[in-house]
Amino acid sequence: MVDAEKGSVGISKDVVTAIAGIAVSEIGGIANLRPGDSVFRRGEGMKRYVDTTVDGEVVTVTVRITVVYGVPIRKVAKQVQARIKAEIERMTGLRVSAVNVDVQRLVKGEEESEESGRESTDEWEDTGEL
Amino acid sequence: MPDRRIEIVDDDGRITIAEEVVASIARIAAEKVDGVGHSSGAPGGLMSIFGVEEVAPTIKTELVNDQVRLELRIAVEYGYPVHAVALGVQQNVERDIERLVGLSVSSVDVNVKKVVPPHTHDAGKK
Repeated sequence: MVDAEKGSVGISKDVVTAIAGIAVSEIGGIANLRPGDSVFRRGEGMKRYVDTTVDGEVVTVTVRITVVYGVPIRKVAKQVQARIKAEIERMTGLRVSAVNVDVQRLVKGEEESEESGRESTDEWEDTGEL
Repeated sequence: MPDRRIEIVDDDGRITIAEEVVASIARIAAEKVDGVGHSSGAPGGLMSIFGVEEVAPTIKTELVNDQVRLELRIAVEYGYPVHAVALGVQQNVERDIERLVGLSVSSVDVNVKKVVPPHTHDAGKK
C-alpha cells in the first residue's frame, strides 16, 4: 500500500508480477516470456515464470528463464535483474530488494550469432531442446 | 543430476543456472572439435534403449569460488591424435563457458574413455 493524497492506492501482487514479466520480455536472448507469448494474453500464465513477494513496500522477484544458445548467460541474467528492479521501482514506487534469476533451460536460437565453430546449428534437433 | 544448479549471489539477488545448461554449452563446445565422438540423436533416447553406449561427451560441473570446474568424458574417433583432441576440447570448453556463460573456468579435466569408429555421428537428418 502506498499513501496517496486521498485514500490509499493498493498495488496488487499480480501487477508487480506483470511488470516484471513484461520487463523481461524487452530483453533479447530469452526464449520464454516473449512479447506475443500466450503468457501475456492470459495473465495467469506469467505466474509460471515469475514469482513475487510483496512485504510492505519491499518486493522480491524470482524469474525462471530459458535462454537462447549463444547469448552470454550471466550478462543477460544481470540485465534481467537490473531491468525488473528499475521498472518495478519506476512504476510502483515499491522497493525491490532482490531479483533472483533462475536459468533453467537452453534452446537453440532462430538466428546464429557470431559463432566461430563450423555450422553448429545444423547438428541440433529441430525441437530446439538441447 | 536432476535440478542441480550453479549459484551466483550478489547485491542484486541470486542468479542460478541449471547445471544442465552449463553442461549443454560444454558439450556443444566439445563436439565442435574434430575427432570427438558425437551424440547419435536424441540425448539419452533411442540409442540407449537399443543398448548402444552413448559416445557424446558426458559432463560434470562444479562451481568453486566463482569459478567453474568441469570434468568431461569423451569418446575419440579412431585415427585422431588423442592428446590433440583432448587439448582442443579443453580450449573450446573454456572459451565457450567463459563467453557464453560468463563464468571463469578453473579447470577442464578431460577423460578419454573410448575410441569409436570415425563418423559414427548422425549423418542423416539434421
